[in-house]
Amino acid sequence: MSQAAGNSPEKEIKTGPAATGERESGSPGRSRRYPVARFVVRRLAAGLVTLLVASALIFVATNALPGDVAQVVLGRYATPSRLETLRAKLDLNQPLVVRYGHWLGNAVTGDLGDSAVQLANGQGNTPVWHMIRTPLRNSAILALFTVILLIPLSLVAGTAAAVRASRPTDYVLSYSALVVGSLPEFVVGTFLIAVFFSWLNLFPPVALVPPGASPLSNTTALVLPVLTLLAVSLAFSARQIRAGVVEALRQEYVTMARLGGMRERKVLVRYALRNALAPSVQTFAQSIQYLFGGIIVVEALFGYPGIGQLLVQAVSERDFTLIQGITLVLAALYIAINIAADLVVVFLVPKLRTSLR
Amino acid sequence: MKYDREDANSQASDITRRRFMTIGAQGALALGGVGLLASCGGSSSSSPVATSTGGGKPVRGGTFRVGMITAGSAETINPAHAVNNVDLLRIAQLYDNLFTVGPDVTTLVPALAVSAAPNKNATVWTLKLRPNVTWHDGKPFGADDVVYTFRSWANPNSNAHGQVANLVNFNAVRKIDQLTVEVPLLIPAGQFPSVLTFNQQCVIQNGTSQAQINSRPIGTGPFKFVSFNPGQQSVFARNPDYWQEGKPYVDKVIVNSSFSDENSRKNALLSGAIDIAPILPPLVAKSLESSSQATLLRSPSVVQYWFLMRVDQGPFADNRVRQAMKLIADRPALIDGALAGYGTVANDLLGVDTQYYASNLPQRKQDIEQAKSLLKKAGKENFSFTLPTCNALPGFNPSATLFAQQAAQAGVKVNVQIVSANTYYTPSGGFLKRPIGLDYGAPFQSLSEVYRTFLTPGAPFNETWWGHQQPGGQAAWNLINEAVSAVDPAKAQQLWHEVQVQQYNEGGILGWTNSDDLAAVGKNVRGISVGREGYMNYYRLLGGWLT
Repeated sequence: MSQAAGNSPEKEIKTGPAATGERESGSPGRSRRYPVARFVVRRLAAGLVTLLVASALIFVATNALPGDVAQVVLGRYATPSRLETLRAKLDLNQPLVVRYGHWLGNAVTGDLGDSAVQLANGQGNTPVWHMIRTPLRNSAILALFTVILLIPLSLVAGTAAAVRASRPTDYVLSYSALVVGSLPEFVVGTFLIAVFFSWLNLFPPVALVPPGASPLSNTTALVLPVLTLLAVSLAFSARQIRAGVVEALRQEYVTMARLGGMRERKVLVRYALRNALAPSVQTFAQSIQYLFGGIIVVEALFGYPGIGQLLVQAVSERDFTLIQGITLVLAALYIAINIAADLVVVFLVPKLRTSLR
Repeated sequence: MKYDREDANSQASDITRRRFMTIGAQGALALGGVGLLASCGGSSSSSPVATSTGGGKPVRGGTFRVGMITAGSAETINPAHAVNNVDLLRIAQLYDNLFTVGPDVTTLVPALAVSAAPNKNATVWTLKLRPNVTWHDGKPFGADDVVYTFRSWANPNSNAHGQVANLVNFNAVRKIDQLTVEVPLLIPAGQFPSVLTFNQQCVIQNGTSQAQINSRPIGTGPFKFVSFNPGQQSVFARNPDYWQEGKPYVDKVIVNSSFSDENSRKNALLSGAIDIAPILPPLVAKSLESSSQATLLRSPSVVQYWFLMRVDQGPFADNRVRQAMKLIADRPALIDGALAGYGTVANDLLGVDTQYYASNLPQRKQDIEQAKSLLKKAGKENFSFTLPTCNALPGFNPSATLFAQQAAQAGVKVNVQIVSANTYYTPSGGFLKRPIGLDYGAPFQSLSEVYRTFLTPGAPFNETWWGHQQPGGQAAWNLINEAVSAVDPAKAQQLWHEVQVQQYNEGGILGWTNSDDLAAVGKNVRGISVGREGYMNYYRLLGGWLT
C-alpha cells in the first residue's frame, strides 16, 4: 500500500527537473536566483499533496478490510451487546468522513491515535506512535547496514560488468545477479541459515531484540538478515547500474574522450560513471524504500522486530489505527526518500542543475 | 463428589505433582474430545519421542526463555480477556485456579480449593479453600478473594463469563468463613467443579481493578509479574512463597512472543536463543525428531479436531447425510496427510477421557459403499457442498482438502473454500451460520462442561445447532440437562451413555483425530512434559529446571 504513495523514480526524474525547467520560464527573476530552493519547495509541496491523497487511500482501505476490529478482537466471545459497547468505544459509529477528519487532524499534530486492539482488549490507551518508533528504528538499522554495503558493492559490480560487457566477467556477474534476484527472500535467507548456522555454525539464525535493547548490542545476529537483504537488493542494483554504465559508455562524449587520448580509467570515472549516477541514485532510493517497507519476509524469517512485521501483525489483528499509523509513516518516508533522491541527482549532475534555470 | 484434603496432599507430595498443578483448561476455543485413542491409533510414526525431559534432582536457579507465536497488539495479561495461547501461558504463571485437570483428564486436582461438596441435588456447592496461601503482595488468600472472583465472572464482557453464565447464581455466592465459600447454582450440576478448571477461571485478588490487572497483576501463581510488552516479551520472577514447597525451580521466566514464523521459532530453539517452544505444528515437530540440539516432546492428547455439521437446517439436516459424511472420512489417512501422523483416531463424540465417556461405542471407520447408499436414500446422489476452512490450526486446510478427495470416492463434490483465520470464528466469517465447518476442542474435564459448551441451549459454541433439530430437538436437550444434573454416579453413567449414543448416531460432529501434544525444549531443560491434557500440561513450567 505504500507503493501507491511513492512516485516511480523513472517518472520523477523526467517530470521533476525537466518539467520544472519549462514551468520556471514564467517567473525568470526569482527562479534564476534560487533555482534549487524553488525546486525543493515545489517537490515538498507535491510530496505533501501525495501524502494527503495517500492518507485518504489508507483510511478508506483500512476501513474496507473485511470484519471490523470489534468482531475480530472479540472473536468467539462476541455478543451483540459487547460488539455495540466496543464499537462505541472505538468511535466506529461515526460516518467515515468525520472519522477521517479527526484522524487527519490529529495526525498533523503528530498524534496517530491509540491502538484499537489494545483499547478493545481493555488494555487502555497505547499511542500508536509508541508502538511504531522502536520497530521503525530497528528496520532503519537493518536498512542502514545494508545500504552502506550495497552502494559500493553494486557500483563496483555493476561497473565491472558494464566495462566487460558481453565478456565472461559480465556473464558471471549478470547471471548470478539474475538468479539471486529472482529468488524470493525466504529462499535466500533459508539457504544462508543452512550454510552459516546449520553447517558452519558461524552466525545465529535469529535476530531477537528484547524490548528496551538495541539491535546494535548484538551485531553478529544482524549478519544473516543483512546478508539476505544485501543479496536480494544487490542483484537488482548491480544490474541497473550495469545498464546505466553500458548506456553511458555508448555516448558520443565517451567516444570523443577516448579519441582525445584520455586514459580509460578517467573516461570511466569522469564521464561514464558520473552520468550513469543519476539513474543509479534512483535505483538506490528504490532499494532503500524496499528495505524500509518490503523486508517483512526477512524480518519474519529471522524473528527481527521491525516495522514490516508490526504491519503484518496489525493487519492480521485488524488493529486499524495501528495499520493507518504505520502506512502513513511509511508513505511519508517513501515520499521523503524520493525527494531526497531527486535532490541528490540535481547536485550530482550539473546538467540538471543548469536546466533548472 | 467430594475431594478430600488427604487426597490432595498425597498427590501434591509426589513427583507427578508438577504435572498436575497450574492453571486450568483452555477456554479459548473449544474443547473436547474423544478418546479412545490409542487403540486404532493413527498411523503415527513410531520413533521414540519422549513425553518429558528426564528426571534427576531438580536444580534451583536460571531462566526459562519460552518462545511463542505472536498475537501482536491483541495480547493481554488479563484473564478476563485472555484468548490466545500466549495469553493463556502467561496467566498460567501468574494465577492459580480452584481446581486443575489431572494428567488422565478424568481426575480433578485440588489447587486453591482443597475440596468441593454439593448439597443433595447439586444446586449448592461448598468449596473448602487451601490454607496458608499468600498473594504476590504478601496478603493472605481467602474466601473474600474467591467471592470477588466469582462476582467478576458475572460481567458479560469477561471471557470467563460464558462458561459459568446460566450456571452460577453470582450474587448469591457467599463467604461462610475465612476458608469456605458457598456457591449456589441456577441449575443442578453434578460435575460443577470441573468448570473451575478453565484458564480464564483463575482466582484474582479481592478488590483489584481492571486497570491493576492490566498493569500490575497480582496472583497466587508460581511466578510474579515483572513486565509485559504485548507482541514482544513478558518477564516473570519466581514466587518464593509459592504454596507448593520448593517450586518453582527457575528464578525467572521470559516469554518471547515476537515470533511470527514457526521456522524462526524453531531456529531460535536450535541456536539456544529460547529454551522452550510449546505447541508445535506437526511439520516443525517432524523436523526436530532427530535433532541433536533440541528434544521433541510428544504425547497423545485429548485436543480433538472436528468437522461440524448443522443438524437443524441446510444439506446436513438429514441425518443420513451426516452419517454418510462420517463414513466417508478415512481418519488414519487424514491424520497422516494433515498432521504428519501426529494424532490418534477419534470417534464422533465429545469429551474423550472424561468420567462417563462412552468408550464402548465402536470406532467409526470409512465405508464408502454404505455412505453412497445412505446418500442415495436421502436423494443426494449428486451431492455437492462448500466446505469453508482456515489455518486457525495447523492441519485444518489440508484436512479439508483431503476430506474433499475422500468424498469424491463417494461421488460427493466438496468445494474447499479457504477463509482468513481472523474472521473464521466471527459472525461475518460465517461462525454459527455455516452448514459445515472446522473446529477443535481443548481439553474439558467433564462431559457436563463439554456439552454445556457445545451442545446445549445457550451453549456459546453450538456450531452443530444440536437441540434445534425438528423433531426431537427439545427431547435431546432435556436428556442432556438431566445428565448434567445427575448426582448419583450410577444414574449419571446411564444418562450420559444415552446422551452419547444419540450423539454418536445423530449428532453433527465428525471427529477425526485427537491430535498429539507437541513441544520442544533445549537439551539442558529438565522436568517439562507434555500430556493428555494438551498444551504442554497447561503451560506448566513450575516443575522444570535447567542443568
